[in-house]
Amino acid sequence: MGKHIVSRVSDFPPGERKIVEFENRSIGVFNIKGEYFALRNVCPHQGAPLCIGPVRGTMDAETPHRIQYVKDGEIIVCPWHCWEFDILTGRSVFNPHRTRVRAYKVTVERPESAEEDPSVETFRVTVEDDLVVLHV
Amino acid sequence: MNPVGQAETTTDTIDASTGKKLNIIDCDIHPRMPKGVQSLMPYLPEKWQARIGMKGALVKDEANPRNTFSVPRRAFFHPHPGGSGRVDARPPEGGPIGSNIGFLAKQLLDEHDINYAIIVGQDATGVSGIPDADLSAAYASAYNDFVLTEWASTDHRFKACIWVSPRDPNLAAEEIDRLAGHPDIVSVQVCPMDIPLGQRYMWPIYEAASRHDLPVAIHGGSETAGVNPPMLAVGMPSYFIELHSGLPQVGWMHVTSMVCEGVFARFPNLKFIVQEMGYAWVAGLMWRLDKEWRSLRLEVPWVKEPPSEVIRKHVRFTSQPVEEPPKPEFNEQMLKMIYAEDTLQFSSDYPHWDFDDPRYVFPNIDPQLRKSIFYGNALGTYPKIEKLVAGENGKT
Repeated sequence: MGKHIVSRVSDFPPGERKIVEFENRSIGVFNIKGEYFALRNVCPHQGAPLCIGPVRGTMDAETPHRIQYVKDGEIIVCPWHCWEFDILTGRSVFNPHRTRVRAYKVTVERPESAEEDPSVETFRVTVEDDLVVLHV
Repeated sequence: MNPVGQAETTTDTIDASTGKKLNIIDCDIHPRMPKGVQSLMPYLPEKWQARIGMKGALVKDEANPRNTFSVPRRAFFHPHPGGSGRVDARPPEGGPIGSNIGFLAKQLLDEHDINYAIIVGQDATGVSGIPDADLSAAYASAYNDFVLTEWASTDHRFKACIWVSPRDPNLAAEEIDRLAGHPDIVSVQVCPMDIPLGQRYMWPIYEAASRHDLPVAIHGGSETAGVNPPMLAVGMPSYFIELHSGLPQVGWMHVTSMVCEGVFARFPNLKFIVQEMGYAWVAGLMWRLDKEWRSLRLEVPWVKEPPSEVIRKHVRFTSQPVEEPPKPEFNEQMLKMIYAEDTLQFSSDYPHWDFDDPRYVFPNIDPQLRKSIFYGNALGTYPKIEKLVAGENGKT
């Protein structure tokens, strides 16, 4: 368990994602409309690299055949079997209570407060802007 | 003790309308009109008799003997080497097998202690094959009146369905409205044609059935009947064994369509009964649909729960011809896989050659499951029978 600096905020604008590896875990970090979220880059179905899949919305319908496109930019689609997950929660769209991918906390911190655990390799950040910090 | 010697339990259901213990509800029987389409003439309005050239004395068309109206049936009737009916079901006075309703009541209902039997019949299974939508509807109406008058009225144990042709779904809905209140009517029988049954074209029928709280059933027999296509995915096979073994294809695609088109989301009280198309395949369909839905839910977002759950809640399968796995443990597993405690309903298919004797099918299964299959599930599917049994609308 530790804190890991992912990026400077200025290098990680809305709509972008970064696949990072910390503590032997591949993790996808997403900037969704200015907020950061992170998911384990492993689909719980058959282990595909979930976080490289398309990011889009999904479809809802209160009555048959009346489709509504919702949650644009908040859904990650597995590149193998198209399972959909809510990036904000890690919960699957088809069975949110039982099928989910591990979600991690991401914070934005001032450079001086974002020190990593000493046991983990670190890199110098000599910039003025805030940092995107992943909590694994 | 019931016929297979299972121990009785305390959960027996007494039919309040008769005082008898419930034993069997037979969900698919096939009496036949004694004189073919001629039997229908008293029930077909004069204008339609005239329209099809059957009013008054019949004049044979010497130039073309085919120029005669007949009951729509499969275009090529694969000859069944053993005959298509139980030879012992021929009425004592002669005539087509299954054509004497009194003899049927004695041979089927008395001998097997059947409380209720649902008449699906034999002579309307291809009614959708009549291309003229008005004639198709008129035939179905006449047949319904024939069944209610000549058969259902003869014995309180007979129940009937409203045959409808989807050639014009709005006429079908009118027919449902016309007959739904009849005390002997317990279901709607849709004759499939050439479109998947879940599609919106069919919804006036489901709207009407749902409004009257009647389940909707389908049966084989419309494949190539009249102008209908083969309905088997690869075209018409050479042999009857192929045709008969292939009927699950028809059920597979119609159930798939009913689920994916959202029929049950739109009509939550609707039940859909698949008759005589088998049931072992239902496990495979459930698993496949669930798997596909996890990936392709985006196409059908109104399907809010796994398709297997939708099937379990809304779709029922009649048992005949009963599956006969080579090992008892296969049978037990298979019944669990298809949630038979909810989805499976006994049918005999009397008087056909492949009739299932209720004393011999489902040997050695759990007594509670046995009750579900032999009458419990049917009570949940046919609200009018359930009310009858509960004493809410007794029949005299």
